[in-house]
Amino acid sequence: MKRPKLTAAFRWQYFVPRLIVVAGIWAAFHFGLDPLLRWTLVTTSEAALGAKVEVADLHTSIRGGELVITDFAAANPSKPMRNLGEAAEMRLHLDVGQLLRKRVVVHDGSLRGLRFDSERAASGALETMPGSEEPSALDPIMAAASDKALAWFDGLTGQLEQDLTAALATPKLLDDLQKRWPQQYEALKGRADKLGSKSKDIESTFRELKKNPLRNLDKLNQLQTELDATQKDLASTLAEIKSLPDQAKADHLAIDAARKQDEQFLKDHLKPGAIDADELNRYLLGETASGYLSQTTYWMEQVRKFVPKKKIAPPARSRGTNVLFMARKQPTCLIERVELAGEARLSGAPLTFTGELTDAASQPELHDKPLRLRLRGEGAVNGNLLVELDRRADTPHDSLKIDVPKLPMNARALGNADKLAVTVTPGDASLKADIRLDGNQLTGLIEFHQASRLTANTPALHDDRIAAVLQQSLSGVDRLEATLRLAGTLKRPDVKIDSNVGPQLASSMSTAVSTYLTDRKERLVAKVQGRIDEQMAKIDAQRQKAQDELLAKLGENQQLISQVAALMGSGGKPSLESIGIPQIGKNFSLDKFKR
Amino acid sequence: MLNLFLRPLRIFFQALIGNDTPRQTAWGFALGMMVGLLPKGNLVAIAIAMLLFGSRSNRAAGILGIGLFSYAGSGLDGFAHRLGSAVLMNPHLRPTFAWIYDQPIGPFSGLNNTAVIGQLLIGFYLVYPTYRAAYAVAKYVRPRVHVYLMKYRVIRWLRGAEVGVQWGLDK
Repeated sequence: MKRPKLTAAFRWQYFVPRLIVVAGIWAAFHFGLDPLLRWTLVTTSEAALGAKVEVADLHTSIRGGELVITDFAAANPSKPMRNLGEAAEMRLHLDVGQLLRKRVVVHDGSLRGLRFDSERAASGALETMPGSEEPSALDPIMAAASDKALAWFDGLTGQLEQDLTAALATPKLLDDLQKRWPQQYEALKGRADKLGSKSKDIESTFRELKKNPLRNLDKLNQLQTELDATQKDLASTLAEIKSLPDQAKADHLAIDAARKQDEQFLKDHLKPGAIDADELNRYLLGETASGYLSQTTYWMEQVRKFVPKKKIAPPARSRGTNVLFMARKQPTCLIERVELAGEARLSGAPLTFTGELTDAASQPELHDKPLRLRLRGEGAVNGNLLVELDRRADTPHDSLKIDVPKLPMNARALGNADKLAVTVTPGDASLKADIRLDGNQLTGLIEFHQASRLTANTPALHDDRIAAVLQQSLSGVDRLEATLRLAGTLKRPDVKIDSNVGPQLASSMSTAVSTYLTDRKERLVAKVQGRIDEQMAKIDAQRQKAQDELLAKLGENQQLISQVAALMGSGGKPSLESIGIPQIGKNFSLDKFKR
Repeated sequence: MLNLFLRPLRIFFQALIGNDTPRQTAWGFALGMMVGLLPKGNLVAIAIAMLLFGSRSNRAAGILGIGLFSYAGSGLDGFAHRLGSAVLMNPHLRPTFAWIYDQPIGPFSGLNNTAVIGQLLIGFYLVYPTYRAAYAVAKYVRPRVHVYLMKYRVIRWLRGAEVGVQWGLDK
């Protein structure tokens, strides 16, 4: 059999179309890669961010292994007219060899002209906006501290401004006594007058009846009954008047008991409630700290989402095992080092920063170094920032270190300006923060020092003395120091704030309020006592005078009644002898008629 | 359109009634066997497939070989993995494979995969016996089948269609 020639051994009509297809693919790749990459970058970034992302130009050089992105801008989803970040030029040097191994490795790169929160000419809002923000996990803690401090302050304000006199028992008792005594006096006087007129009536009636006693014997008997009743009434009235001193003693005792009760009431109500210095610290510094910490925890959470603990590799369905001929498996995407340079504005002041991002890997657990972001700022803030994300061990470790030796701070008010606030004058501050997240366990220490004057503002307190004491208490404070200790988890963080302001203010307020309330209590007690003394002396004098007057009046009545009673007979029944009727039997001796 | 539907049938019957020589048929089946055994998605499998379809070997026999040995290959994967592991981990051969892997298209070659190496070695081992067996079948069995099938009008019609395609009548 004749062997075919080599040229005849192949079907060239098979190869030629395929070569043309390959050439077409190459051409499409060559001319379409940049627009495709640009479209992919914009689309995926917009989907992830929820706002417009713009890329002016993207250029790749496969042979040189270079990717250059110019005028990159990502809009802020919550502020559509501002950019979250923009970069004038992003230049990445890629390892082409690694691209053929399905890995993206950036050996070196630079991000120039980075700017944050810059203005946009057009709105960066997408048609569909992401959902609303979730509340910060620290909000309940800070709200509770604020409520507690404000409740204490409201209680204090109430204590200072409440009219306690109306609630005291002694003034009421004195008022009652003052009303009761005139009525009692009038009643006794009425009874005395009535007794007097009654006595006179009895006497005149008696004298009239005496003229014809035999005919008026029945009336005399009736008069005798009236006389008895009057005598009894007189005796009871006299007894009541004589008991007035005992009643006065009882009134004195009741007033003394009421006074003691009032003293206890004042002691209870004018006791200054204890204010915890820690709560006051949280109240004053909590809002500021909460803002920063919420931002920090939010970003740490976002970083956790993008750099997860471990990516669970799907079970390999391919046949066999790929031998990689290297010590360990490498991450698919790796940025070994990228220089960063840019500018931002902090409280209106320009801030330039430089730094580098190293060892950012798509599967960080496969990389032998942790991700590090170092930034150094100059201008508005002179300081360093170091972020480290370590996923090499089973437990992820994240850390954030901030060291700002000089941080210019504007004037600001700590706390609620309507009730109790501490105004901090402008001054240079220093800030050191070391926050760690090991697994889900959050730990951290933030130290803040500011040389500044502090002024206490208490618009809700209308007592100038308290305000003056508070002012004086903070007059010696020439710095604001705060130490924040973080604990808990990322979802449920807990913060303990130590500061020189809280204890200083709490101590001063406690002393000032205690002094004020003690003084107020003593003044109230003295006022009540003075009124007691005055009222009781007045009542006692009135009572004595009335007693004497009534006794004198009743004495006259008693004398008259005694005379009438004597005339009517001592036995209580009217006798003919007592009324002077001659008894014929007594003048004649019946013995004469006896044998 | 007609070509689209008839093409699979044409290819199948071409393997049986085509004018290819037994050698072409045997090479087609042997190369198809290798492609069938190998895991797909690597340059080795693509290269052998291109050799199969780009050479004047019998494509129908090749497709038949691919179909048959794809099933057989999955059954041999365990053995192929052990064999490939032994080869790749061999200290004498390892530097060579590492060098291949480090070349620009090395990772796409599949020569770092245990199953690819194992199946490739099995394929090399079986290529000659398969060629000889396919050659024998093509030489002695196919003429009898050819005569038998040509009795049917539809087969003749398909053959005519094949000739038409070769003459460019389907365009």
